[in-house]
Amino acid sequence: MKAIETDACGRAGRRPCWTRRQWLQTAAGAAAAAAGSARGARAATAPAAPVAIERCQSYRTAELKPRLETLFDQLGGLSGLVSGKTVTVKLNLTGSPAQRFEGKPLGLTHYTHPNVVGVVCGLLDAAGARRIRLVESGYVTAMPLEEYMLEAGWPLRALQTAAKSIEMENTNSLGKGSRYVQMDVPGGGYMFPSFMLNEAYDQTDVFVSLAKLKNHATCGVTLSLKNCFGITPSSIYGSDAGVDEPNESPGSGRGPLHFGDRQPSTIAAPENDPDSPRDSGYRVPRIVADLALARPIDLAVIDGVETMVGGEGPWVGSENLHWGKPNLLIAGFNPVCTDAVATATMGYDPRALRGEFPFRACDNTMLLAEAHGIGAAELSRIDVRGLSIEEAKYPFQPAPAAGIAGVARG
Amino acid sequence: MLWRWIWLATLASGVAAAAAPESWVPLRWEGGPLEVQRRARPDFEAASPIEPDLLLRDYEPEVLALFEKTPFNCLLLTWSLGDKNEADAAQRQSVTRFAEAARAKGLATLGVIYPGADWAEAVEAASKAGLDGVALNGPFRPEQSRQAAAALGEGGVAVTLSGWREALQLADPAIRAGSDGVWPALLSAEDASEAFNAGPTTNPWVVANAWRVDALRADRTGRPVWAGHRPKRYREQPFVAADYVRAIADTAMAGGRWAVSLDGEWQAGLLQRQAEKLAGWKEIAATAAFFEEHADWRKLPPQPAIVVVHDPATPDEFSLGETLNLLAVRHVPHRLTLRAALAAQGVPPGAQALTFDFPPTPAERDALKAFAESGGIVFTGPQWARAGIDLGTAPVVAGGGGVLAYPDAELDEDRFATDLRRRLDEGGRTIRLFNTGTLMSFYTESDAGDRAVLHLTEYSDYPTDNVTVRLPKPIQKAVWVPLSGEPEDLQVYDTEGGGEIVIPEVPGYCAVVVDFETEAH
Repeated sequence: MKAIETDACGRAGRRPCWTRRQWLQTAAGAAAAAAGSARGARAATAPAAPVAIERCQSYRTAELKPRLETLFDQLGGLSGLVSGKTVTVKLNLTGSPAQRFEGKPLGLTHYTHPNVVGVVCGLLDAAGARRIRLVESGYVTAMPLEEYMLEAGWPLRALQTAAKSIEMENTNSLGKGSRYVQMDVPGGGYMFPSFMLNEAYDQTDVFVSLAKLKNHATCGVTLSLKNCFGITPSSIYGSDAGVDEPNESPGSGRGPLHFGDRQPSTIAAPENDPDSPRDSGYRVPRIVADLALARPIDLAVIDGVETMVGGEGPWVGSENLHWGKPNLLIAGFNPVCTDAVATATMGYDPRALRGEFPFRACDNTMLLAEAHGIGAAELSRIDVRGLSIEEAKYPFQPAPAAGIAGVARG
Repeated sequence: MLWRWIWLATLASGVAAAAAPESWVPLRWEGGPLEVQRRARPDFEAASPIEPDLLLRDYEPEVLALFEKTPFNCLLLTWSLGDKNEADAAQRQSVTRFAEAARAKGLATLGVIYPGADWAEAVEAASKAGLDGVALNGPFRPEQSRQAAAALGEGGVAVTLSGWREALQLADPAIRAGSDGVWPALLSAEDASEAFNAGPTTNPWVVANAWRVDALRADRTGRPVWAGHRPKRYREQPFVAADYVRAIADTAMAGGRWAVSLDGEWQAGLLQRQAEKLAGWKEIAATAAFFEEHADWRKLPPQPAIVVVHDPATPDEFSLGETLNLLAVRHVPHRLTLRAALAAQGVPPGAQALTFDFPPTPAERDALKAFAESGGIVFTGPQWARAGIDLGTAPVVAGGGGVLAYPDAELDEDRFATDLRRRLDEGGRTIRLFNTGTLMSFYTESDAGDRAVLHLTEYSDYPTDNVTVRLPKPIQKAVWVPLSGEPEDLQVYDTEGGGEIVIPEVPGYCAVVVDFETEAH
């Protein structure tokens, strides 16, 4: 079983030693956060780390490169983190590549933009990364990630040459790997004690969540933490997963995680409490928090240059969906701190509770992760560098509206 | 663009001789008192209305100036509503005068006749009036089409605008035409009757006509094919020139010609010489001209991975149209082939599967068995199961041939197309496209296999970029040909056993002309 440790910057490492005291604190905090009481009880002890915000007006690589360089420089640079390391970068390519919003290229709406991916890979390479592996669990498919990217209209060949050594893996199934790896949630987790994941997530020294600045119909916002909900393979956690063995040709989404309508394939641990709520607004934030313990995020990068407002993809179907251009890049070594700052730039209170914007029908993932001890969601404890939150603020609020009656975009 | 303007200038050089029917580029130009009557009927559905006064001015000879410097050389004019009508005389007088003026400018004219008791008299009247022929528009029976052709004699042409199945029952029409096409667009999958455009969507669903147009070519004779559907308003926004550009490309990419039919607002705008509509009209005309300039592309046959065999005399027991539609949506290269054509010409080279829904003759049985044993897959229909027909081939295994029953409980049309797509992708033996969510494609290849033309039409209002195309043969050269702008050479990447190209953008429509490496290279 793996546990977690954090360094002085709040970065999560891979070989931690949790004390019983820490475990008890986490469990207590989780209960408090889940109950929506004692808000901020864990804020004082969860690690805090700087977060940088940079203005970026376009996806032209000529502009992205200096902006991202400045962004990472404000954090102290990437060399110390990635030099000589295997770096795994989780992208956000959510939903079918065929589903476009207003017919626009996916990178302008709900996918991480490929140019951001390419430039980040180049900078990781320049910072000494030994091996870079791009990962994503392609929507209801086990096709190679390279082909999935082609389906998305991504410039595959340019990406493949963005760094000296780039690999790609669709982690929705075994992919090119030979086995799944059990990654434990220290403390047992809110929902699952462990997850069975593609081995790429284990063969990782540094884990990067390269997310999009978006609302989410279920979770309010989807940033670096929620992005990693997608590390779970549909082959095991999908509606058509095998009862015992994975389905290596997955053709459905992660209904069992969203709604708990069945348990994962038995090669993976079942959820802790099969009688827990089946409400996705309860389940998904907790599973995301659990995943962030099982597979710690070492670097959070959020693409907010262009995006969609009101939901995580065109399928949300809300009248309030629209394209937006916040012109922002956000990064930090702690995903909770980074997401808290990003949430604030969207015009929301990162400590809002269920029932408040943007968490109208869900629990706050950041508070759940904070209660896990992963990082602080308290803005006053976070050193924001580059643009201030006020300078960066872009009016996402009060979306998302999908599935929530009576909400109109102001 | 230069070549196109040269071509259009040639058109405008005063050549007065009407083109032969195979070169006709059709345009519906409806008007006159009968058209006013037709549009006043309660069952008439207009994409947008036009003032009756304007319709009455439609056949004034000066209107012909609108068609100068355009490729449209065959006008479909309102001639008869099918029954005797008090306005017939006035209609025929104005159409006759208009047709004479058109002929002087080298334009052919067809009188459009709707079904009714007196349709045959209208055909004879059209012949006497000196029209080049008639267009029977509606549910005319094949024998009525033949009767019209006979009445017109050698000098006249009878075009029947009917359903594609009915059109295939005509033995030897000068032009094979269908009228049951759809207005090409992007729809919501949840409710295809409720369209969206440039708005939040769920699964995008392209409605397109390439499969219908190709079906009209099922006799594999190279006969001209027209599509006669009209504009349909799926949304509140008015039509723009790009809608008509798409409609032309949607039919042309499969080797046909759309009988251009303007909605009332556009027709009125042209009659009133509105600047915006005139500018759009140039764009529409340039699109039609583009495809005439590349008329040689029509001669390239579709390169089907699957051949859907159809016998007009035998009812199909599986949903043929939906199967063809879904194969097109999944970008599975396919073509409908008449049973008789298959018997005469055999399975097209390169085909890896075929559907066959009839009890086979001994010769067909032998041919199907040979096809299956050589690695092809034969999808059979329900009639085979009922009759207990068994070719005696081994079961289909991955990468191998054999016989599969279709449809069955597990394999509806969508699953069929998806399953076939997957099999083809695994084999890597046919064209594969990536990033085609709002695109339709049509792939043709010369019989010699040395040249291919891939057509791509965009159905959203936003151009798709970075479309990757994998071909199973080494590519020598690939040229991207957009509707406007100069063609550009594309970078060719070698892949295992084939080649790959990336199309930078599909701005409404584009073609890619591919020259394959041959042994001589």
